Amino acid sequence: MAALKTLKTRDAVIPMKVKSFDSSIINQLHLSSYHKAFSTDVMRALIALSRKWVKSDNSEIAALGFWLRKSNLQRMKEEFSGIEQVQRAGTVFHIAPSNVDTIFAYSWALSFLLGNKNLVRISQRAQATTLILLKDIELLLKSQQFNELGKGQLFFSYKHEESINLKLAEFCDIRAIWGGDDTVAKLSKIKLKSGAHDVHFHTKYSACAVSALKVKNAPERFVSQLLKTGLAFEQQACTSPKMIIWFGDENDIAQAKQRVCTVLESDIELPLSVSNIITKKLSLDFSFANDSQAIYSDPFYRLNIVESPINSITQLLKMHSGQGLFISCNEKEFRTVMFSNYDKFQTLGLYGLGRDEVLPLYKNLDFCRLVPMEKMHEFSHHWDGMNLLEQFCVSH
Amino acid sequence: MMNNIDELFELEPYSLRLNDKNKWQAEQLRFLNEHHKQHCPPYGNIIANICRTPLASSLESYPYISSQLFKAMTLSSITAEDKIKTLTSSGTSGASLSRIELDGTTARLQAKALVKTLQPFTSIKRLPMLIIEPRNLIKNRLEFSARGAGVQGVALMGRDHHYALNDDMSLNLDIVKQFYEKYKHQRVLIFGFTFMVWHYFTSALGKMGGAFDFMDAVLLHSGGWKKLEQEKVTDSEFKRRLASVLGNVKVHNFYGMVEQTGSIFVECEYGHLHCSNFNNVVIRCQKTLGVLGKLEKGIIQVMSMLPLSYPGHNLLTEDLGKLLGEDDCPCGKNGRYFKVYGRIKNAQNKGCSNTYEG
Repeated sequence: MAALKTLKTRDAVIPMKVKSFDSSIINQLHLSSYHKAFSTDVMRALIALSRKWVKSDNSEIAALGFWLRKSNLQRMKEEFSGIEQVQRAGTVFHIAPSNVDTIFAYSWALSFLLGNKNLVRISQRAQATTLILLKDIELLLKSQQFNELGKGQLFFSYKHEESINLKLAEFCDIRAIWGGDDTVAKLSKIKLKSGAHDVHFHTKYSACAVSALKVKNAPERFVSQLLKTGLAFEQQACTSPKMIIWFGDENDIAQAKQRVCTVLESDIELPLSVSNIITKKLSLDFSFANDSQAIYSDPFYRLNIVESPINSITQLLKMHSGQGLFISCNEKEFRTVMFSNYDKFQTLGLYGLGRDEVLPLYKNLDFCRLVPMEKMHEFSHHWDGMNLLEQFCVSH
Repeated sequence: MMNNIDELFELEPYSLRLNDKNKWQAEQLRFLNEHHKQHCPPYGNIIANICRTPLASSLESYPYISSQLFKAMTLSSITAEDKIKTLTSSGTSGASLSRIELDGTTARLQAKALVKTLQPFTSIKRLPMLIIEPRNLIKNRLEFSARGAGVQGVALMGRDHHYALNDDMSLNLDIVKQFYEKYKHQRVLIFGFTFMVWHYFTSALGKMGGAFDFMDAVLLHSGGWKKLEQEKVTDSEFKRRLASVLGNVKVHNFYGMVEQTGSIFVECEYGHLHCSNFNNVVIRCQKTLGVLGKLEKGIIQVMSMLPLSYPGHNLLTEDLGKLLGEDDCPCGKNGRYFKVYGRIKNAQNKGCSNTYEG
């Protein structure tokens, strides 16, 4: 694992296992203290992590390190001082998702910046990236310099059990539930103590808005971007583009598609295989059973582009299993899709198009991020239509 | 163009060898593909988009669909008027049901094939039968579950059906004693789902201190081993304990699914699951879905020559297995024989919305 090179400790051969939840965690919580929002110590701690992570060979870790850089933290500090409220630090309980390893760290870091104590439940299916980050955080928070600060920052895992979820609901002032509609529905049934509130991260879809002309003229460039952005996180992140929306006239679109297929049929580098070929096959069968047509099909199920009738797309998105399935439609058709899926689209990644070309065409895009396609996976504290610096404020 | 399917019923069920079987089944698959393309447009569109032209000689080249698709939508090749019953089953997570629509023809074919497939293990005649279920299992004759369908199907092999369990699933020892007194000296058939047999019959008898000594019992069972695995009960333990409470009993597991009722794979005395003339099996790579050879573990694809009312003739399952051989089992049956390991791990979708499970 390349990222291990960045750990400069002697015992850094195997990343640790995540600590299991037990009552000692609650005891520790009671013995720890709150801190001032954006205090010098907190900033220093995160900058130390940033400096380490930004050098990582693991691109997810490097991206996280970059987001935690001093200038970005300063920017957030300035923004926060402009928000009219007093932060009374409290306890935030984060339920991290299983699809993207670094989200727990972004969620935690934001809340940590605000001076809160944090209980972070790590997914039972945590992968190597998560374990590496946890190890680094633990090392930092155990160090003499940040020990006091670290006492109220607790990371653990457990199999979802009503009793533990109930217990944790008693202690927190804010519960941040990542992981989509099902998780939100199940966990928000457990009532919080009076005065506490939930922050929900619902199921979201993302798409790339693409200039057919630009693709027609340089198809390899687009394919390269599609593979990079589209296949990251096995296409299972909220920010992963599941749709390709073509902008341009009919001719350009037809030619763009054709040239993309030609590039895909040539000797390009795809991942070795998908991780769950049964669900990939099922999502493909479902697409075709709902009137989709294949534009491109990799013989090993790693990348498929299909064209679907507008009224099937909502269903297809629900059945989507990531792993390289792209639903293609033109921008006019997408307007109908957007309309039926109001506030389900999180990010629109732009390829060869400016914001001013896209914005006027769609109503109610204020809930949606419009960013260049290569920046789709970049995190921001403005997320899912919320300002997380406000949401993680206990006095909010 | 129902061509040869009737002829097939004239033959011994495990008689066809490789070349003849492939030839016959390829023709039937071709017929079924066309039939379902015509009568089930969604199926037709799948085939149009996934199919490269199949090679006549190679069964593996025929297109297959995911068995899970029947949970996601209704796929039917008949009209509402022709439908006589609907079978349902629970999904892996219990959340969604497969819905299989049967017309008279398909129901008849499936029942006939089931009987034919099981006869070599039981008898040509109907046998006195003990069913490890409560009598009230099948309440609705128009729509019932995989369990109900299984019981109804296998019940065709028997007569004078005795139901061993009370409505609350406790063992009705009197009924079992009655059955034993009447039939201990002749061949009998006992049937139940694997977990039911273990938990509500074998274990229950053990607790009651009951034991019987049948002269010639045949016990058929089917269904997942998951709960038994959790209790660390192996196949040999399962068989051994049955022998200790029943006496002389031949135990045969069979593998099947609601999406292909009537087409089952029965375990011979050597512990091998056998394909009959009515079905076949292919094992596919978990990474590429490429065809695997003998003794290579992979995803099980099942083919049934029977379904006319719904496009369930060629399915990729969620189960792992491996091919053991073809036409050369020491038990004497021809056709492929294989082993099932169980459901593939993490069969569920790992999406943004699945955090709760992990």
